[in-house]
Amino acid sequence: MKNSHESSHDFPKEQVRAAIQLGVEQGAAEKKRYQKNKTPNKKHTFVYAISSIAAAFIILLGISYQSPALAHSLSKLPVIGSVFGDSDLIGLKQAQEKGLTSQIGETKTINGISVTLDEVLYDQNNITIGLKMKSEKALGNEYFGSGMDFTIDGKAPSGSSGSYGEEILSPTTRTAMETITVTDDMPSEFDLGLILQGKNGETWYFSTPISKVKDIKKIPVQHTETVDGITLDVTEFSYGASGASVSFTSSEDATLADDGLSRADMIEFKMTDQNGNEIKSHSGGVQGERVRGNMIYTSNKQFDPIDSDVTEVTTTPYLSIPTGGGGVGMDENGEETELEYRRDTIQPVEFEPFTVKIPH
Amino acid sequence: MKHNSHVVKKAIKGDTQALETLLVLEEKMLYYKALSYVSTKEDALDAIQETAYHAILSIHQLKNPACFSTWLCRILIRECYKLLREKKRMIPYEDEVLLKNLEQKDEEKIETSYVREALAKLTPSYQTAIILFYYHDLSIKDIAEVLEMPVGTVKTNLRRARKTLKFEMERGHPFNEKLT
Repeated sequence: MKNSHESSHDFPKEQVRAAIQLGVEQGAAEKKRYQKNKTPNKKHTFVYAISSIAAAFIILLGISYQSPALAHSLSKLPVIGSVFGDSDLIGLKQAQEKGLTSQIGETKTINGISVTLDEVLYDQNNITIGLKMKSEKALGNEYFGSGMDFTIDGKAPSGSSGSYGEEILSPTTRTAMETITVTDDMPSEFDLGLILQGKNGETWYFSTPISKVKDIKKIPVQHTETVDGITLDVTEFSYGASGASVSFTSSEDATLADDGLSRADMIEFKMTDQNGNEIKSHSGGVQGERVRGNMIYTSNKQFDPIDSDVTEVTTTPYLSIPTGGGGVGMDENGEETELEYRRDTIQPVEFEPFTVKIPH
Repeated sequence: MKHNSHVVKKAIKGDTQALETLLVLEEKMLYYKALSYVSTKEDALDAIQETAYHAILSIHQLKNPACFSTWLCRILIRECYKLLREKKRMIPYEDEVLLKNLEQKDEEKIETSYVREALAKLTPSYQTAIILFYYHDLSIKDIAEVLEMPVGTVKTNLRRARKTLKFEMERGHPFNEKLT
């Protein structure tokens, strides 16, 4: 067979060796883990683990006592556990503890930067993805830009919303979390493709099958009210190990939105259980659509998971009015003009609370 | 490539260092072979990393030290194929080489573009079988391993793919078209 590649491509010796070395290291670690799990006498393993940790700790203490430089670097050594487990989101932690997340652990290395797809959770609100990044050299804060693009069964979605955030643990180590807002047209099971791009043109690609967690319970809600021109229609309360959510639509005259005076897009909810304990809200995006002179907003507002002893939740809608803001527009000559912020003149609206009984 | 059997035996017994030495000796083969499948340097490096990973985990299964290179190559091809499947990309090939290997040279000269056109009309499993067998020189047994399917299925796919390809190429051939 003719091999035209050999003549037309330079051999990247260092990178090939790095790939070999990394693969060997990962394989050796996996083998060790496997052999450890196979050890029948757990008691011995435990004692061995304790004694080896103690020994390692004593050795490290001894060396750091001798070497202030090492002691300094030890204090800065980042420890990465699970991205979800280390997050401060109770829902993610609970979902992980209950085994609802998909542990992936797949690492791809390009140009000395290893990206690990750590974990994925697909619940009623979001697809949440945890990543770990390690690099040989220090990376800038914006190295991975605004996060990942995704595909559903190999096809790019027509539109999507979500968020991406990083926690920089050291110049060479960081974790990241991306959330993709779940939409009605997403299948409950599909191959999720993830594409992350680095500043120097690297592209990390992952593909993993995911399925929506099955522990989600849905309770239909029929709460409709119209207050001061805003119509609110709450349709569903759903809850599971990863969190609770309230689905609703709200609408008002579209001319208000044109004038920068819309309010129906600012609805949030305060939720308490039967004992008055507040269930923390995590907000959630709003999608707006203009229909026959009205702006109709659709949203799922997200909350921490509810405890198993909760028998009912009372939810009070309210307007979350920003205290400041503004914007920049373009006039007909292409000149930028500052837009006046008018929302501080908006008056709050009082909505009626509604109660949802939790079946046990 | 022929390797020192002593080093291969050490690797089979679980000596990580010995295996790494062997992998480094095969580094050029690994790279260019990977590149011939996945086309981009980044993917080739990914495939090599995965190959090294799986080599460590399965070297103890290698029975004949003399077959180390072939065994390694098989892992590499499997990893390349996995990558291509993940990215839903086609296994690369060169039309002319494939055409030559399809033993069309003694017939009327067919433009290589017809090969690509005809191939595109085959089902993905037929396309894969044809390209792996005629272009990448894989044996039926290796194809079965790479595609994770029985040898019999590969043989059937290959036979049907050959038949369909021949039919499509003859149909697409300009000399077979009736000019009116």
